[in-house]
Amino acid sequence: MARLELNDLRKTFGRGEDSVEAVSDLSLSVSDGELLVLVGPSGCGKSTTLNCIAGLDSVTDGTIRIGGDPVNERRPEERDIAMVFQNYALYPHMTAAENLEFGLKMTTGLTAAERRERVESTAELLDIDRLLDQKPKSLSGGQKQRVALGRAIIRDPSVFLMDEPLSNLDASLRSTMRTEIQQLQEDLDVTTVYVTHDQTEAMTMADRIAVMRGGTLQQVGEPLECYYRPQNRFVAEFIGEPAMNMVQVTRRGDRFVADGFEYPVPKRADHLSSGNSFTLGIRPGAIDVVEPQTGAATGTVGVVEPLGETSHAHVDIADTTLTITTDGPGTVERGDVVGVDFPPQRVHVFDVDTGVAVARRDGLPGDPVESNLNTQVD
Amino acid sequence: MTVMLTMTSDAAIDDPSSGSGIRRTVGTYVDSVVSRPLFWLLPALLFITVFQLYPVFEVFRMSLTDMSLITSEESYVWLENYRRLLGSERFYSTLRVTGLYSIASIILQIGLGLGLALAIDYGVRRGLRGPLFTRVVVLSAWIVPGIIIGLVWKIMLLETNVGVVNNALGRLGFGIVPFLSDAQIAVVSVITAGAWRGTAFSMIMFYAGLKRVPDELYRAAKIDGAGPLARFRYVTLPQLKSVVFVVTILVTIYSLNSFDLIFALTNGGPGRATEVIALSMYKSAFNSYEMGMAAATAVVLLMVTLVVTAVYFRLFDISEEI
Amino acid sequence: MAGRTDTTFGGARLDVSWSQIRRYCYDGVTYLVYGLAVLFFLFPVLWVISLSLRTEGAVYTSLELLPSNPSLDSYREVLDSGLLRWMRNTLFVAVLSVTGILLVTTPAAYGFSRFRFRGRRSLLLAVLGFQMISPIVIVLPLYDIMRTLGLTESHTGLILLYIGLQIPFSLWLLKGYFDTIPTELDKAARIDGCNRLQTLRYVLLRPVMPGIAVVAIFNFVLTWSEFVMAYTMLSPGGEDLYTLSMGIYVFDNQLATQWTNIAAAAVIGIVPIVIFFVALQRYFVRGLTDGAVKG
Repeated sequence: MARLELNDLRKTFGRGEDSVEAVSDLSLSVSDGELLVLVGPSGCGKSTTLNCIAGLDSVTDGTIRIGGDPVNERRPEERDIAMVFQNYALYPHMTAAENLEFGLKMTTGLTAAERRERVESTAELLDIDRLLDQKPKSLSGGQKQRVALGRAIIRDPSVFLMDEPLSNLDASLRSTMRTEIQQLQEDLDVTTVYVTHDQTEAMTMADRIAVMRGGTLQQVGEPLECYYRPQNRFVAEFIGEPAMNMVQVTRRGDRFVADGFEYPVPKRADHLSSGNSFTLGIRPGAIDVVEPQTGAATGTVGVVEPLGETSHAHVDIADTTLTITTDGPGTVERGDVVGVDFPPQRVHVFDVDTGVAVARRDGLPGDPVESNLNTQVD
Repeated sequence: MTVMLTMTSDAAIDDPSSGSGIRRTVGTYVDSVVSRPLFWLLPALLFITVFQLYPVFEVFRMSLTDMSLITSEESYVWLENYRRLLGSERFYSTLRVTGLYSIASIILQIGLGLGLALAIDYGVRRGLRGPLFTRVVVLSAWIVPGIIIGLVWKIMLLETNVGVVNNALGRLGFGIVPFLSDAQIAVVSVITAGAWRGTAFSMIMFYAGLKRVPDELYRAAKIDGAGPLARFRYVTLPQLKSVVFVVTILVTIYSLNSFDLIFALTNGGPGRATEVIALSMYKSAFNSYEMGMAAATAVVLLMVTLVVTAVYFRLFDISEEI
Repeated sequence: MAGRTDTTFGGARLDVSWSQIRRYCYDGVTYLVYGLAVLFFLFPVLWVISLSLRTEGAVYTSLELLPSNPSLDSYREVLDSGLLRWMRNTLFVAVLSVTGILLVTTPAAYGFSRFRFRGRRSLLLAVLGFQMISPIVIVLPLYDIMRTLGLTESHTGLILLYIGLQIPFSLWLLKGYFDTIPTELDKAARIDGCNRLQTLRYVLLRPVMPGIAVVAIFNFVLTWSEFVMAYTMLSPGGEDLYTLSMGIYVFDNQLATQWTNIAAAAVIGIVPIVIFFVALQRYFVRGLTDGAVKG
């Protein structure tokens, strides 16, 4: 039960000219019992951060505190953490039970009987009690994953660290395990840092998400906050599937204009100066199909990808393509000429050069502020 | 769950006081020692320095002296040993013998080794009987101590009725073949015995290489219409390229430095017909006690080995493999 | 319809039999290769065994592999005249050398596999480079070193020498094995409270066992058979120190034409080590083909 804090964490690899900064000035805090998901593309520094917290990598600069105590100088087993790895990292020559027991054996003074008891109760919790005598080789992917989780749980740590624990599983098992880990984390109420490159995992599991890129933190917030109020273009594009559409526009008077595209400037973007260029971001799900020539733009439907309940349609407008999510099959067909439109609160405006969001909406859908705003603009 | 948590809360939380504090200092000390690569590498590096690195320098130094096994005095004669060596008939004769023996060995051992590896790999893939037995028999020949291989072949090739080969030839109406006493035939005998021993090595290396060729490649080639020969030429050989390279280098180094088998089989005879460089080096050191001279011969042997290896690196373009 | 089925069948049968004929040809050639190989590689050993079982008078006469009235006299004779002792010496030297090699190489292989430090690559290549230098080239300075250290005429010296000579190859091979084990295991072990020593002992040693087995088997065979170093270092020390290889060599020179005795000595030099290897060759070949040795 502990709060995890990172203050100006910095990690560089190598020395002198060849040194690479993997994590730069990262400050984060994870409150007691919270599940924070560190998400970002590969090489963004999320795993390095996790290794620093675990004590597997030394810290170049900054402080890591667990439960208020700085742990920089502590060895991994003294940090009261446990970790789950991407490829399970089960000891191949030990049975599942021995795998669970090993950490206890090395770090605690428990007797064999006490350890056995802990192993059994943990195994029961994870429903692997019948697998205890088997070696990893004879376990399925999901079973290995459970044993790996058990190895972490049995230590009863104050902080769980999970490094892409689900990426070796196939798709159906992944979503089951996702729910299970989430449930487990809630039940155990242990502070957890979960690293993944999969934004779906991040969205569905996290209490809060921390998006990283190139070693720097882009945004921390609740999943929906990151989804609806991204702080910059990177977060906007990284979160959400399919990715957000981006359109280069110029403000002319009270309109954002581009080739074949015209949209009234939302009220919250009023302060942006006319004549400047911006990047507009619109999520595929926010776009409505309307009669041609009536919406923000008109274009021709290209490829349509049916998904059952919904379809993704790609609409060519001048030299850009917008992806839109439509209802079920048959809403639009390839070759249709359609208009597209979207509500003003779903428009994101980014600075063309820095990618910083320049006119973020004030609240999330359903907030009183937000509904207020809606009626005003519409 | 709650049971579990309460059960462990005191054990798991680190107690920085007293006993565990001491354990921690010791632990940290051990930790810092074992996190240095030198701790792990030192013994090995020490052994290599004493028994490999230093001797290599020392053999160069020795070759510049008149060191002898009988007196403890030595003085530098600089290149005198090399001058004498390069001026002696014997040196060129050993060079010729070594070259002949090595070339024949490389061709024979790689050819036979590859052939056997293919036959065994084919047999295993087809589920024939016999590949395992054959593999074991060939490997066993490699295991026999070199000195005893020399002995075995000496017994086989005896130029009396005891020698089974001559005995059999005699029964077929041929005269005694001087396998070990004719200068030219003796070379062939030595090469044969060498192949008897060395083929296993290239066989097992090629076999390991063949096992690593993915089955999909053969299937893809079959679908592309490649027959067995084309599959060998365009799938197997390219995949074996780096193995061929390694085997060639190792067999070459091995043959150039051959010693024990020849020492036992012919001891360089008749005359100097089968005296390879290593043998003549050993004899000048321990029969004539001329350590300096012998060291010079060893240096030449090392140089020959290095030059040939360098040539291989040139010939094979293996830059992408290593 | 019936007719069509027939022709298809006929065509198929013809097709099958053609490729089958070709297969049988290949199979035949393969069996021929096996036969010739077995003849060439097995016969000399069988012949020597046959000789060793004969009485002194029977060596000139027959070509049968099974002598008419076999006798073990030659074995009795050679074992009594020192071979037993030499075998014990060889076993002692080989076992201790292999132990030493493993004790020195395993940590070093771990170090090269798990640490990244400046000069690592060059150091590895240098170690491999020594593999190109044949022991025969440095036998003279080695003899000189051992004489200076007072380690000639002693098994300890020979064992140290074998360890030193066998490290490069063994290190390279074992390092390849360590490389195949994911580093996540090391991390998991650290989280579980192991320092590096404990990680190696409790976590990595077992997975790397096949590699250790290959190194052990290989070096056992090599040190058992080794001749030049043993002959050079131990010769002046008297017969009691001899290893099997050098003993048999010296024996051969002394016995001149007592062929049955020489054959018996050779068989004693061959059979134990070959049995040892055949029993373990599965692990050896598997270890090599597992991909730890990069071709």
